[in-house]
Amino acid sequence: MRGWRETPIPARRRDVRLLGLILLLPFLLAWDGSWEGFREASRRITSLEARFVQKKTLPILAKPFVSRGRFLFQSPGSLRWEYDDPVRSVLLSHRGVVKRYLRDEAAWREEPGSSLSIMQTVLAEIVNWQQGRFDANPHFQATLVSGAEPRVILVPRETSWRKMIRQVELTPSREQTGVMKSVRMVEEERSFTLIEFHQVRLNRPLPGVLFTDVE
Amino acid sequence: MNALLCRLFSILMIVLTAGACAAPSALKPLDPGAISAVAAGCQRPFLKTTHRLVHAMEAELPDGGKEAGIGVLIADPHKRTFRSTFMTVEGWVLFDIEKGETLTVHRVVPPFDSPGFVRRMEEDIALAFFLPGMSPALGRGKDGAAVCRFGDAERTRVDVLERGDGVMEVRLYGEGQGVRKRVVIHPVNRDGLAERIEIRSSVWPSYTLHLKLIEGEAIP
Repeated sequence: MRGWRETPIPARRRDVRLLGLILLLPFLLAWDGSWEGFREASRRITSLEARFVQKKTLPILAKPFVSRGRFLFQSPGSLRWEYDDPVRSVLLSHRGVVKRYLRDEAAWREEPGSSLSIMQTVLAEIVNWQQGRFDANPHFQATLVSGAEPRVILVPRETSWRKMIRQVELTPSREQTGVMKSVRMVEEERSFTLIEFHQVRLNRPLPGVLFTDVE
Repeated sequence: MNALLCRLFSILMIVLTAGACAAPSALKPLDPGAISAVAAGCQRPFLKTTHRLVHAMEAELPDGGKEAGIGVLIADPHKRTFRSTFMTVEGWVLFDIEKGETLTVHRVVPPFDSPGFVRRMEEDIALAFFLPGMSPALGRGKDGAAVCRFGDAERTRVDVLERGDGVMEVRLYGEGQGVRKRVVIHPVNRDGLAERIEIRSSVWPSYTLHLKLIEGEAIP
């Protein structure tokens, strides 16, 4: 634990940006095969609600470790990323203020300190991507892969980033325009995370309190 | 001069007394009829066979901050080997270490890449999941708790004691014989696995780990 205060800031920021990438993935929308179509679709989204199932595969797990939760987004930049099971946690972002909560035995507890400052940086990344500047991220080489199930493949440009994550695969929904079907983040060949979204609802009015209060 | 000597003597006595308080107390003999039960009880909180365990983990850090995530552990108590992975709730792997004949770091990212972190993890896992040794000395501590004492004054000393209601405590003593780490293992479930474990390091950098069992399975 000694190194907590000793962590170089640049390394932290790199981790933060990777985490930011994970958090903003639901904003990435189905497209007509072009980046401009992608950008245009993103502008039409004012709010998004979705349930998700996250499956983590590791070399030492016999079967994927499954987590569940919900994701809420309200334009221009409010979000709620909530895990219900098996560990309850909530990340809130609203008007530049980021809060993270963990569920103790009987109550929610705001996680203080370093994690909070980390998430401030995450927000900046989210806004950038939400505006459809998907192919402008300087840290990733983005490639559109056409076919029966089109995908976007993101590969880190920098060696130091590639040590952290090998690639990210984004698969838009074929059934629901403007919605991501799944995100697959590959750390190593046998270590990856698959997040599948379902029950997605777009452009419904969401109470503002969802993005400011944990409950 | 005498006053100065008296003051130095007083300070010396305080230091010696403090040291004596920190060191493990001598064990009183057990009732012969209780020996087998105490010996069995000291083995109860530890793994008997190879298991895969998934825990919700929370770390209280020296700066007062808290970090939470998911820990996955495969541990073989006979070979005293393990592989341990810790990831964020979002699935981001922060470290992945393996203890076989040697200690292998498969992956470690900040803030877990500090010198000594992996060694501390290795020690924590051994204390919480592996029986400390064979043929402990048995007795009662000064508070009356039944104690199994592993090691001796020349080496690392570990006490395993019952705190009541099925809660067991493992104490690792440092070179000065003060308690360096304390592991509280809550009652085991019907599969023989502890539902909750708390690991507290009282030497710098002090920290506390809380583990709550999510899944556990024996591996043939």
